[in-house]
Amino acid sequence: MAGLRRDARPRVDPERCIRCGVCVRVCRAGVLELRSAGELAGLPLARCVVARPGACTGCLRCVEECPARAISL
Amino acid sequence: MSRRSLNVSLEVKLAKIRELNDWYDEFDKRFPAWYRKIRLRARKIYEELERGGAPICRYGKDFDFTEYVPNLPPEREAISSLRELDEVEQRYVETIGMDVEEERRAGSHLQEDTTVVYSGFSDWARESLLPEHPDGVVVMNPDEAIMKFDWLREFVHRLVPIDLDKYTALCTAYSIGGVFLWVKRGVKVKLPLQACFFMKAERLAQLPYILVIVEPHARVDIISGCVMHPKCFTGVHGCITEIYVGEGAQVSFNIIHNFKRGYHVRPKVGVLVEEGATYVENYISIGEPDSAQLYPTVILRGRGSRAVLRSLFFGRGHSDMDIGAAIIYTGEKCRGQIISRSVVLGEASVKMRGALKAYAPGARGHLECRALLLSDKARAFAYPNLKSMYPDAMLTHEAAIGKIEDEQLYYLMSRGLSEEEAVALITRGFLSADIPELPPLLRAEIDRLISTTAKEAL
Repeated sequence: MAGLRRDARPRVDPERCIRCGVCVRVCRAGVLELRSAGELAGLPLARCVVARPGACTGCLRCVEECPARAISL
Repeated sequence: MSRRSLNVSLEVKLAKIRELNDWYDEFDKRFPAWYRKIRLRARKIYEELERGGAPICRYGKDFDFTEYVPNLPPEREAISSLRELDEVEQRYVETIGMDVEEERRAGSHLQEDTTVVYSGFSDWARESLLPEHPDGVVVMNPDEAIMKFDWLREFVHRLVPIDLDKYTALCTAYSIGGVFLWVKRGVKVKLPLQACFFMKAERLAQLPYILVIVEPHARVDIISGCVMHPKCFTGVHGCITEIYVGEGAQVSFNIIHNFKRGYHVRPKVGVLVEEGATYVENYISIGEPDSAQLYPTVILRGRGSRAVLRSLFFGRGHSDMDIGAAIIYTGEKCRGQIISRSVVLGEASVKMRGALKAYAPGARGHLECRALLLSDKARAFAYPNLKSMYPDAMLTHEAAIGKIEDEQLYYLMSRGLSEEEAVALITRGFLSADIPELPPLLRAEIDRLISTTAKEAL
């Protein structure tokens, strides 16, 4: 399929990321994960991490859907 | 405009921005390094966008920000009560829902131009809320909060992307003052807290920053009103608001604007809602600003969380209103509702945007945009937008734009109402999107406005 790349690896810019979790929901390969980083003022802190980079198919769904444009491939 | 004159005006703009940056270099020295880094990044993005860079979002009319002054030195001394405002000022702050006597309020926060002149709790809060929860509610100037609490780095400028557009970048780079509100676990503030942003200087760009952190199972209602002094004619009100709603908490945020011709309004709101929590927002604009753009974005990240966003506004004169709202569902079984109603007169143009984006199973949502056109030259546009990634999502929308039907008018007139009364009655019915807890003075102001718009429409 056009646009798919075996060597694709998503990168999340932590300065732009708003930790909404959209990328985690749209990724069908389970590459991205919203990982808990403890709690502050009773609110959960989450970090968007690239948990399984090897599984990325380069479909670009996360890049397109990210409301903060924080992901690049 | 020729390319040469465009280049000259860009050079003039950049020179003004450099001058502004020099002032902020000095001002920002008080802040911790992490915050200075955010501000510097925002400055770079803003300059880049002025040079023609592409923003994420292009909603709303563009205007030249460099014609306004965001860094006015403080003029007024702190006051000890809202009653110290003079009669005209009191009347104006009351039109945006402020209670000067603070009888039905838990506390007040007043920012005049760039200075926080008053911040305190009401008698009710001192007698019944604070004895039970001594440090339960913290209200501060965010500039001081950022210096005092280093942990805020996890929350400050995390919800509204800095490069969303020119205005988010410049608000982040040049904000002064605002409110930091922190409600601790389980504290239920039964009466609303009011924050007022009052503009008294000409050509001022008032850029406050609002950060609200509500811990799990707490509850708070906020009334945030913005208005200018009648002696002023031009200005900008830009604001970044970030609200974190903890597990099971309830937050209602009411934004009330009364700006006249000559003003540009750009409030940007980002909200993150955790499990089982509820967020309600009401936006009411009764003024006639040159332009207003608003697109609060709520992320329902926690399972079973809920959001209701209502906006109710008038487009009058030559106003250009671009008012929208978005709900992003990333938690399971969340519910959301966006209701937008506008009355358009004169040669005003109104754009109503709404987006429900379901990225998680079990999402439910409804979106409603309605505009009532009361003049031949009024224009309205509705852009409802639904997106679902799951088959079990249930998202609906309805949009309607139209004028009052003659049949409705004749029916009411046959019952003995004058044409003006009939128009007012229909408009009143149209705008009655039940907003509980609407301050009585504001309700009276909206009523007064409906009567005058009915006159204007005929």
